[in-house]
Amino acid sequence: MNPAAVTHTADLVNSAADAAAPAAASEAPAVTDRILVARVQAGERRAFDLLVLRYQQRIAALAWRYTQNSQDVSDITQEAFIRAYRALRDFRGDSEFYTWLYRITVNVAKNHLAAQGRRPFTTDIDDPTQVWPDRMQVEPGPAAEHEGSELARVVQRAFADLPEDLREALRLREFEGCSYEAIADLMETPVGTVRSRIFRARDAIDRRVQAWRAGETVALDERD
Amino acid sequence: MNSMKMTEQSTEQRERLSALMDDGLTELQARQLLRDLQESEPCREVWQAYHANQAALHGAPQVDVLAGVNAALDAEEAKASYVSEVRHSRWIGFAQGALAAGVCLAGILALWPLAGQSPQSGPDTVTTQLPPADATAYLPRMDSYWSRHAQFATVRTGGRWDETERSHGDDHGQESSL
Repeated sequence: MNPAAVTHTADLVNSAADAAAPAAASEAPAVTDRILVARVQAGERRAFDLLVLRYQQRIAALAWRYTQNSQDVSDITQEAFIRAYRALRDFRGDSEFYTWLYRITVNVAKNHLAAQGRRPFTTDIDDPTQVWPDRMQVEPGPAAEHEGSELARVVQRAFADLPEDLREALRLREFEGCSYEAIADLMETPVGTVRSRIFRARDAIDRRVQAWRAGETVALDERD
Repeated sequence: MNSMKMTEQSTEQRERLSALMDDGLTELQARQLLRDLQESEPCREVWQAYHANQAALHGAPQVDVLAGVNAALDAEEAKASYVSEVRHSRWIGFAQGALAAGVCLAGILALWPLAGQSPQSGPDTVTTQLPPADATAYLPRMDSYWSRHAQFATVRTGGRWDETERSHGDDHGQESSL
């Protein structure tokens, strides 16, 4: 890995964050969650698969902050989803699904650590609105040495290499939590363009990841 | 991983998947796309890849607990189904036992009044119809017996006794032959 490239990535992200005024967090209703929860409650187990795919990484990130241990992260994440499935029939939608899932995960993590006579790595994470860890773990250290760190480096490099308009649209969405409408206002473009830019950014990153998985890491490194 | 499957999904479909991640679709569009996701494995792989990349962008650890979650839930459902089946079979067994006991009780109650009646009063009482006695053939022999008995009682002579006995023996032999 090229440390300079990583640092460059972080600089790009942070400078972009400073340059753009943080817009309000997404106010879009969680239509996807609501539909999936209703389907699970109606007996469609496959719908729960999509909720797992949608949130397992965020739950893992939360568990990581409690334990800083890869095995614990997998155990806690899995247990949290199992408990959520059991309790989902009683979920009335008074809160967002993720907020509800977040609370289940915190309880599972605390119980998991208590059963092992351990204490949480940190207790300062009782904020369900913070769905991801701190912005981009690019600095070497314990938090960056989890499973998937290499993938994170590939993705973050791909993000840094995006054209400015695509990178800015994705940054506002992913790191500022802006809705499409808010991004359209900030970038002074139609909502359809925002949606297209965010998609093209994700698609470009995914192509880089596929190339990396196919063994083209050397080529990427040479280009860096 | 899924480059071939990824290309199978149209650009438009992948753009909708991207928008779905951000709740950027109308409810109708979201419902249709979520149905596709539930039924199409290639579509799900794109969805999974986008979320994995999103997590990597945030520096989150990569996990894939879907198989483990499903295995645990399948095991729970199988166990629950087994317990339910056992309970059901126990209930069926109890119900069958109760039914058999009820039938027995009903039978006993139905037969109980009949147990106190005489056999002749029952509808199935068997009456034996004896053939009519041959009174006309029997009476002369009785008269003969009584007359000889009277003679024996009044005369009481030895010679007569023998004759009477012999005669009676003959008569008895005749009666047996009858």
